Amino acid sequence: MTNTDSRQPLMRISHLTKEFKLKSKRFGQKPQILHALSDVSLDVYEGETLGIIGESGCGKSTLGRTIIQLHKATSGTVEYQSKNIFDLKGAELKNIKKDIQMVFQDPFSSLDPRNTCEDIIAEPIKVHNIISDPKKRQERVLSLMREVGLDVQHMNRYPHEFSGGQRQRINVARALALNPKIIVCDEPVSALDVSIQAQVLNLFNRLQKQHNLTYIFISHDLGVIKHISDRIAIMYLGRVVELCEAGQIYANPLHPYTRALLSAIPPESPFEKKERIVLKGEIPSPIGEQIGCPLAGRCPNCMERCTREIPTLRDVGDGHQVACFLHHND
Amino acid sequence: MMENKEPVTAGGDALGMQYSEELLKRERKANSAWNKLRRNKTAMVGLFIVSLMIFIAVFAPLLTPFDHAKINPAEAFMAPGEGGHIFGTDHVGRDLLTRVFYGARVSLIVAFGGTVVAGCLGVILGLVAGFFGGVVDSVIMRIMDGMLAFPFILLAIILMTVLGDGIFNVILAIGIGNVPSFARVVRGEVHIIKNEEYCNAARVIGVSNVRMLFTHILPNTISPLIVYATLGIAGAIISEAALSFLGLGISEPTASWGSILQTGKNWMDGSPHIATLSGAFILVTVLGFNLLGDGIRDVLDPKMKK
Repeated sequence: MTNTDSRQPLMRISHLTKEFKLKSKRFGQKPQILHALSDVSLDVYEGETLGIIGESGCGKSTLGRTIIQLHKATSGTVEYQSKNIFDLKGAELKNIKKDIQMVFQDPFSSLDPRNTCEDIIAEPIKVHNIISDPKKRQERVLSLMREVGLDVQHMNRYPHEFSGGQRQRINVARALALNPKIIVCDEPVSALDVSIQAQVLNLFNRLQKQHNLTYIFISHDLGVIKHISDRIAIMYLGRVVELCEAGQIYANPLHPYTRALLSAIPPESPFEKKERIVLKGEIPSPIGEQIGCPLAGRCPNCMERCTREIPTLRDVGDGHQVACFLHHND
Repeated sequence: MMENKEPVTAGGDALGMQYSEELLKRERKANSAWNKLRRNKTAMVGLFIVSLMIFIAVFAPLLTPFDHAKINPAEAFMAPGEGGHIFGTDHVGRDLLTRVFYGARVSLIVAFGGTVVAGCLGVILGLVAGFFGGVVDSVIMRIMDGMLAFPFILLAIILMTVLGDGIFNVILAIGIGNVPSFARVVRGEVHIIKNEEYCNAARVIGVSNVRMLFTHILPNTISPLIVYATLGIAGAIISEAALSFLGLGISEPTASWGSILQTGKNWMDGSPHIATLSGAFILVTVLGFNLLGDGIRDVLDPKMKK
């Protein structure tokens, strides 16, 4: 998958920005602005898994939720089938929603406790009126359940009767019910035990092959992302700092933040010498005006320019994009 | 054991399918609301009490030989058991048992009707206010707060004066008077539930607001609602008595438990049975509704699956 440039993207996220207004504590004070996402541009290609990784609070989940329109974007567009999905209304929007589904992070709260497994999986089919015959609908639900590794006896059970892994399977089955093209996975395995994580990840892989799905896979787990992704975007403080092929990012990380992040993976062998790059200080506050590169205060390679300008994401060859002045040749 | 197991799995999908259909049916049956209620002993006691009271109310004329309105001063203040009057007689010589039986009609209708009216209006207002928030929420809830500022009985008096006498107006007055508290209970719950992740999941699927309100939000507010409604029934019986006492509710000679209790308390030292017996009926009925309500709440909660 080296020729990503020549392919037409399935979804094009451009200059997506999300700001949250924080209510001021004092009366009459101007509300402060929290920059959750700043100028995020990503192309998503058909059939790939785009991994999005970053530390807590860097805007990974906000990105997922903005794409899926649970948050209203402040500016920017998400193009799907050459239409900006934020401009759509009514029936058209409903149709687009069919193609873009989501698997949530918390398998415990994302299922209605008063609906049975069957109700939950059948709901999208009912809402979009895909199968109106109840008997056939039940068959469809059953085949979906079998696909994710559940069976008939689970149909009439309520969410609290399932384990975390099983609930996440119900979540996946619900997302699959509409035959979506893109599934946004918001840390779908981080709430699960490691052994269950592997099972669910393999399920994701299998479903992708069978249905030609495209995943936007959000995670903070380097191992998980490495396992599942074709391309990886590294986020830091609401910005994408590096974007490239999965293999490339581990072999040839360019951005200082990526290097530090990857050096945090423990060495595979105890005899292997591994240099640990430690970024000093804390992640800066996303509240208020943003000046300069977000990493400037912690970066070992910080230049004078970094404190004044914000580096943009630029291609440095082979589809490897990085937002750092070290690699900009101007 | 292994040998026995072989043919079953090898039997093919037909047998497996049949078996699973069976399994599904059994599970569905065991979890049907009625079967769950039947397994709940206290709920069954409540159901029995409520059914008994309804039976008494419906068949009151057939259950006693006396006329509930006939005044007979010669037999006033008879103690229970005296002269064929099982519950004795009241201050004007009417058979108390007959009056209590006839009183069940008014009291049950007013209590149930009033709570249903209050519940329906309160739930709708609470859902709308909680779900849409913002200006809608502020307007609805400030009106509710305004209504709460009046003491309930004063509000009911105002309504009764405007509407006039009669049983339906009593239901309406008690119902409207109780709307604000229902609205508040529901609104608070909706505020929490609408931000739950499963509501976000429904939004992602493309569920409409109306469907969201009635399939996800309302069912999840049901527990506190039922508790509040069963308490409301008790309150409504007492409110009706208070209104009758003030001459605004049901007028004499129509009996209601509340009015019997209210008049009976004037003769507490001489003939305590008038107030105590009618009071006991109120107590038992309220208890019945509470037990039944608790049972229904448990039945509707999927986590209670005994």
